[in-house]
Amino acid sequence: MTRDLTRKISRGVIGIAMGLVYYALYVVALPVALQSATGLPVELRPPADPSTFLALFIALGVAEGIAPAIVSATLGLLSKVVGALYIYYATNGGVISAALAGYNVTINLSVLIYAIVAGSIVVGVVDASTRACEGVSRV
Amino acid sequence: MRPSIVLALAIGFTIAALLLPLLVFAVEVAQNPTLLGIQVDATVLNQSHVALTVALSYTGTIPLTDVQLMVCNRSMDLGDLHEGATKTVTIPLSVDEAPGLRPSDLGLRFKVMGIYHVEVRAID
Repeated sequence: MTRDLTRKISRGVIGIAMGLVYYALYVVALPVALQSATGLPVELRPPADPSTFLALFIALGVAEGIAPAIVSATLGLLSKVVGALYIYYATNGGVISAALAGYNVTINLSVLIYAIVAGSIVVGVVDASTRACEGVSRV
Repeated sequence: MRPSIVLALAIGFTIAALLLPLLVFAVEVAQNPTLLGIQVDATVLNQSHVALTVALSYTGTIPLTDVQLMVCNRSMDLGDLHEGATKTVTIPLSVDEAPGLRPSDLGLRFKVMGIYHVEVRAID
């Protein structure tokens, strides 16, 4: 009983860490990488407050850590989909504009954004199916 | 190694490869703001027309494809610009159009290595 509770708590802590990793990747690192790549002072328009996404990623991470295998796999996929959608909406679908030294510059990064969105979903689906198969074989 | 980790690494490398030409172009522009030079000259052709000569020069290493010059809602295809390329176009303008020409009437559209659409327009 105590061992089971300890295992759930440790999985919950790992879930918090995973939520922070997803937040750092999708809300911090990828937008910074896009700004560096374009060399423009890009103003991102997040669909909601970033703290909402932090809470959402942590909640999904904790739920992913303590839920049974198949549900956990689905929640893992959901975290990646939420992250991909954040990138898509924050960058206006990849079309970004900025005023720079007397010029208005518009760059269409939709190819890159679609690659990130598709990549996240594909990795999420493969990861979820692998974990679900592992969970079923364990039962 | 889990298949999803291998796939994530492969997708990560693909995204990095997609990002690379844009990153190199941005670094080159930051180091040399005159990487893509535009020179505009106007000469009087006759009583009714003025010739606007636009000379484009490019010294970057990343090829720019489908380059289009936009002047007064007209666009001209200039093809591709490679390192060291120079292209000159002459646009006849009527004397009625020429005095009202503003900086924002001149724009440039191109693709960085055929992947990313970029549009640059001067602000009035």
